[in-house]
Amino acid sequence: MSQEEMIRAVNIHKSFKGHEVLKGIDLSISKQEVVCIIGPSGSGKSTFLRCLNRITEPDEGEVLFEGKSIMGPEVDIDEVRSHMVMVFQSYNLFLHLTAKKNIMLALEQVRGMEKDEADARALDALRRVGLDGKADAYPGQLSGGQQQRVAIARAIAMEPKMVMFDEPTSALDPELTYEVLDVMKKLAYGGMTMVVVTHEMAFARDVADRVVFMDQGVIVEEGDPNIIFTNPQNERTRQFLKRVLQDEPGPPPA
Amino acid sequence: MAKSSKTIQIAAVAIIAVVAIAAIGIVLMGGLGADDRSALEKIKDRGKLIVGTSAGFPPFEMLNTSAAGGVEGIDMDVAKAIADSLGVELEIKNYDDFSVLITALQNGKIDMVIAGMTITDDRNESAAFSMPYYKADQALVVLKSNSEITNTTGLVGKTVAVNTGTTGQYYIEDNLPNIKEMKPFGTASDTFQALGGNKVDAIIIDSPVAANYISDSNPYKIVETIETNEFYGIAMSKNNAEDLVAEVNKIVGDMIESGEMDDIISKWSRA
Amino acid sequence: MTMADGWQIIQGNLDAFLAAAGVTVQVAVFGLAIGFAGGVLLALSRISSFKPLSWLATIYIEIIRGTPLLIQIFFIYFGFGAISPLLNFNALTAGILALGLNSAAYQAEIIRGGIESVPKGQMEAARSIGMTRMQAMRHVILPQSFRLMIPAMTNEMVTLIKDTSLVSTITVVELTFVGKQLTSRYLEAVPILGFVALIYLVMTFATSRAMRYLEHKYRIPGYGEEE
Repeated sequence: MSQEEMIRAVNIHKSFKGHEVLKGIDLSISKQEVVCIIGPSGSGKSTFLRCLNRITEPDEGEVLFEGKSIMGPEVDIDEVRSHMVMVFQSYNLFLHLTAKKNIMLALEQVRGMEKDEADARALDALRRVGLDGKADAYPGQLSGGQQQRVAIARAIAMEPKMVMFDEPTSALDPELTYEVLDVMKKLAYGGMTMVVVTHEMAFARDVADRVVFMDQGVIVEEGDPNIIFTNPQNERTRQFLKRVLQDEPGPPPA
Repeated sequence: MAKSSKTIQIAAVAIIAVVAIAAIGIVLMGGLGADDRSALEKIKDRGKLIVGTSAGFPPFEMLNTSAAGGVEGIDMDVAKAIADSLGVELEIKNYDDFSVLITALQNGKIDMVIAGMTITDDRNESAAFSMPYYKADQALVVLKSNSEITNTTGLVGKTVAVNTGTTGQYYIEDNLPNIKEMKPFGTASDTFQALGGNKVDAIIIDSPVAANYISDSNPYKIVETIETNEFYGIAMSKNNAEDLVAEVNKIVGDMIESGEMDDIISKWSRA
Repeated sequence: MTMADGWQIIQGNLDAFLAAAGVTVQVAVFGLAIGFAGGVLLALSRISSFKPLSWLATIYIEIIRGTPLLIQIFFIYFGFGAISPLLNFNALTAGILALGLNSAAYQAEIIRGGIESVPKGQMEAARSIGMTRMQAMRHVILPQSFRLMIPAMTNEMVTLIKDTSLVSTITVVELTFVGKQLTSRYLEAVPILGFVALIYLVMTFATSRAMRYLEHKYRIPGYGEEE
């Protein structure tokens, strides 16, 4: 993992209808680093992620991507976003297009690729997530897990510098989460910079380089996953993990 | 790239603003290159005379889908005679509401109105009339089965149909305050429909039109002829149309003198 | 005064009816086309983040939807001609223009509704892989919204076909005009107007059937109606 900085958030504040959701978040992520953000609902994790690519516009603070600020109207935010793509909890595949066309659209529109090249690239991306057989299926004809994998294929086909995941498995039935997490793991081991908001603690423990615990709009604790999960420093972290790890399906009692 | 959408939006507003200013400019200047031609010049340049009428006023104008212009009758024959005399073609515009004809004239939609229109002081303020070509009175019409109403005094508390914007309507407004209700209809034939359908108790309409509807097979009868001594004229624009009025007067005068007008009237009249 | 007489009148004037039906179709088709073009422009302006544009579009829509179509027709036919000879439209043009401008306001709301019923996540996904707002609109939102707005659009088309009857008041020789005139002349309201109503019914029915077919043909597989 390189020490070069990929993205940095400085003092991010965001309020919705008078209620302050993000109270000054500072976070830096290095190239090829996999960072998992965990925390209770309402902690602001998703909001923070969406501030990183300005899908949600911060009220205060700054985001620097590869050392350059991406704030303000003069920045070509579309160009920036093509390098830091996002995968959503509800997949958000383009419903009127087949899996392959879903991927080709961005390649043609954003990367300006010719149809043939986009077609080949899209198929390749689908292959990487194990769904080349479903290239001509529509999202409505795919299971949740398959849809999410197509969404990931759509993201990685762009050859981004970074991929952000906003609770990618939360909407899936338990038996389908495995196939998605598997794809994400492959991506991580391949050296992709990833920021993942998730409830999948096992994934965080096994794959993350760093775990960040957020609660009530602030970062409470962050660090090596092994340390966070076995010996958290902060009481709130401890409480949260106790609740969450108890609920996780473990091996049946002997 | 980020700016292109904003640029287009600003351009859109700019275009709308330019169009709006241009439109206001056109309005204020009364139109680009206001037309100075006289009414007669316009007709000759165009090669066509546009006559406005309101079919459903027999025997002056009746619907006939096979006739030229879809309308036939006394007024249409007069219109054709005028067009032939001027050496131009004829176009008939048929408005389904009589009261709209003067508006159409004033707004340049038609060159003249030939529609059994009575010359009145009020109308003289909005249009220039030709010499009279027909004399008429008003008739009070009821159903044959009605023995109650025998003259206008019997109309107290009754419903009376009229053709909108006609002298029949004005007669009631000026002279019969005690009727229950006056119902205006777009055409004369609509009033007869109303009477036949028992929607009204009586009709007050021009006498030649009433005469047209009286027959053994029709259920109507005229119970009184109200002598109003009306004269029908051809209405033309008051603006820059003196030459047209003069020309039309000449043509109509010739038609009356030669007996052509009488021939046309007897051709279509029933009474 | 029998139905037989009525049928005779209809037969005798069949040419006129057919020609008039043709005019009705002409007015409806052009009116709808203008309405659609105008509707898309208005809808996009309305949802634009550029406030003056959005504001102008809203004013137009409110005025048109808040005033009677008949008044609008008279305004454009009589009123415009009085303002300037350039704007002195003939009856057919004025009628089509009035119907088109009117329909644009209603179609704008239908289109806007269609756009807004596309799930928000669609736009977010498109933006978050680097598509511009316009690209997202054109390739993701609008295609989906067109399918969603077919039912409401069908309604508007049927309404417009029926509204063409109003241009009978400015001398356009279409179905209602011929029906009214013949009824005036021959006083056989039931058969004549019944026949006219039948022709309108055929037109509106054909239209809604055609739209239903479109809806089925362009349905998004996996969603909506079962096949």
